[in-house]
Amino acid sequence: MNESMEISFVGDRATYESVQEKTQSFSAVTHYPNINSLISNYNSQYRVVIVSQEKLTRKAIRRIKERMPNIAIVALLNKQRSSIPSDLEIRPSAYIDLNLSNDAIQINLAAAAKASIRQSRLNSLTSFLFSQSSATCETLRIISDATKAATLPANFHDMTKSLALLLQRIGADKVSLVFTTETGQTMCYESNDDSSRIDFEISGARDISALDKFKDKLTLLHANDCDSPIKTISSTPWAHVLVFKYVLQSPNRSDSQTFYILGYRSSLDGFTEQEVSIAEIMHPIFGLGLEKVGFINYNLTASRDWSNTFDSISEPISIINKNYEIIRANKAFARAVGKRMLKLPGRKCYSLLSQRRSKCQHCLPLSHPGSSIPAQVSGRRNQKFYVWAYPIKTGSKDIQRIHFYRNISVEHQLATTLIRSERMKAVGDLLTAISHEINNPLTGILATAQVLINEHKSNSHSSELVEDLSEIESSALRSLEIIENLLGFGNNSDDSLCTVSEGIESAIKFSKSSLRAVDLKLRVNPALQSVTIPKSSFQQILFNVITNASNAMGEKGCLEISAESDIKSFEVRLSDNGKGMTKETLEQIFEPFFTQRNKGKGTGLGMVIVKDLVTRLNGSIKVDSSVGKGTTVRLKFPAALEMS
Amino acid sequence: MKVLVVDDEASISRALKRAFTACGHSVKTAACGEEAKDHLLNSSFDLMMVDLIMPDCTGDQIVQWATEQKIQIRVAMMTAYLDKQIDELRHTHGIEKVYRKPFKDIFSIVADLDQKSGT
Repeated sequence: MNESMEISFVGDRATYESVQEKTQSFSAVTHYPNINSLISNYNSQYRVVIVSQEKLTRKAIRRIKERMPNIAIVALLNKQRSSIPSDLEIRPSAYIDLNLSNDAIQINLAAAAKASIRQSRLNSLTSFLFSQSSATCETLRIISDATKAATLPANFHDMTKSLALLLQRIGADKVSLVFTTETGQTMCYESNDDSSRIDFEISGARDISALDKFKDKLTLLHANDCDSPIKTISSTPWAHVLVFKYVLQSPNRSDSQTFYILGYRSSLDGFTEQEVSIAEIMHPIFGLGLEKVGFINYNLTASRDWSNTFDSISEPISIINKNYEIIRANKAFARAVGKRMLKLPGRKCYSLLSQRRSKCQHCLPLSHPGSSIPAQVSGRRNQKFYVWAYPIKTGSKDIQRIHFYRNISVEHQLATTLIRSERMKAVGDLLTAISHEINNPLTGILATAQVLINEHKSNSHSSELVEDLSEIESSALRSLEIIENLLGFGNNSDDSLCTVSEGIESAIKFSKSSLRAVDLKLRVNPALQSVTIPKSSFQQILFNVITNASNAMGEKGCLEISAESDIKSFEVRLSDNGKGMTKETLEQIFEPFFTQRNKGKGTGLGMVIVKDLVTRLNGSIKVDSSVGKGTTVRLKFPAALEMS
Repeated sequence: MKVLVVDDEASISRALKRAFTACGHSVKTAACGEEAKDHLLNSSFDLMMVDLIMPDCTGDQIVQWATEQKIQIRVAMMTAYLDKQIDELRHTHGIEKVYRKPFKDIFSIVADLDQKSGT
């Protein structure tokens, strides 16, 4: 296929530009002020389609013939009211018949296909021709040249598909069909105003399988049933009319050449984006004169401007009807609900946004005149939105409403965090109070144990007693340490430093009883033997995490503890293969008093303390978990640790 | 050294008494502010080791009372409360030492106070 095809317009720039401005689709047409400039700029790699405003004199034709061997078509504009001179001896590789008259333009699509004019070029050419034809021209005739082309035009199938799609999308309420046989007989059918049906026939078409799936919407009629005139296609000012006309050709029946002109009125609110793109494909076969093409383009542009405007707004906006069904929505809305734009219309706003079965609890009633106070609704993935509702004043009794949303998830998250930190504070206060109450008796236990040890340590007969007492003393000391951590006394200067390796080892020693049946894999980067960390805080953190891991693993499992470091930080990773947590559980582990253990066994404070201590050490904690597979806790600390 | 231990927690008073005694000091105990005042009026002491929070009064109230009564005595305060309060107490007139409860090592406290008396 020869892709190097140029459509050249020869004529004055003003005409070219005015037409370009009106139709906005002329990128594929190159302008030349006159035949000479066309010839001198001619590049032999191109085949050209010449559309000339200028009369082609014999001299010009001779020059074209000499200098431009690769000519596909020559078209003359209607000013000349003549066809190509019969004695023109140019031999284009293919002719496309272009006949211009006051009421019709004929293009031989099959020949165009044969001449390998790509559809976009043909579109440009055709719309250009339209723009140049007289304003009364209402129809475009595309003729299939049965004698020259054995098959349907290459792009026919695409066009038919687009047409079918368009029919479905627009829900056309008016369809006109014109059938013209080879002998020049013309018949027409126009659908009634019952917009629920579109009746037309495509006769002799073998390549319209694309329409099959629309059978329930399209009732096939016989061409012979149609006898009303074609003229009514449409002149309603606000109706958007598309007119298509096809020539179909049956390989079996030589008389099956048929024109189709289909006109629709779309709904009053303009075309959707998809309709626009289809309309652009179909542009050359709009059976309308320049004025109307321009008019449609104008509306398309306006519609596109508005849709661009709304799509550029980063907050979701939708228009809903009285059943809360979405009529239209912008891109941000589609993003917010995670659906494609085309999937939105007809769906309920609450089902899309909040996955609800009924309207959102706080949504204003439809009859509400609109309010400056937004309602709050929940979206997917815990998103929160404010929604403002504004009724659309259409004058009709159909209630429509604009929903303007604002994503307040971040603010909401902040508020939640604030509430959480207040709750943490309350817990902290409670812990302080309890700890103090325990401190007094603990002082008694510890001090008495020490006094007794002191009394008996020199007596060799009481060595066992002293050992027992020492056991009491060390337990009491450990209780004291735990309480200190609970109290947030981690910042006291007594918290001596230890190396990371030591810290991990002693934490494991502490946890020995719970790790009895656990396969423990320990891997600590030797570099961490020189990195230090406040001992009791670090131990407490590890102890709590290990306790959780052993609870998650039950009787036996595998716990991997590894520590790696780089220049700035080190990371301790604890991975168990226990039962893991759901996403919901994972979200709650830092909540005070949240526990997965049986009542009375877990305090629900382990991870709260861990988080607190890690924060005090300027570290960070990350927990990943999947149900049935296990949990990994990553603790990251700066290498040069300072207590905050 | 004659020591008065004032604490409503009997186990603490008892342990302190035994620890001081073991180190050769004589000790009397009081379980509340009133009892402490009685002791202070009736005998003389080198050191009073007093709890900050007690049911009938606070340790520093006793210290203040003793100052008003012109009773000469060294004071060590014990408390299970917050660092901030401990700092405040350390700067309170008449209070020589503040110990946080629970004590990690009771004998080091005794030794600490003993040493102070020597200087």
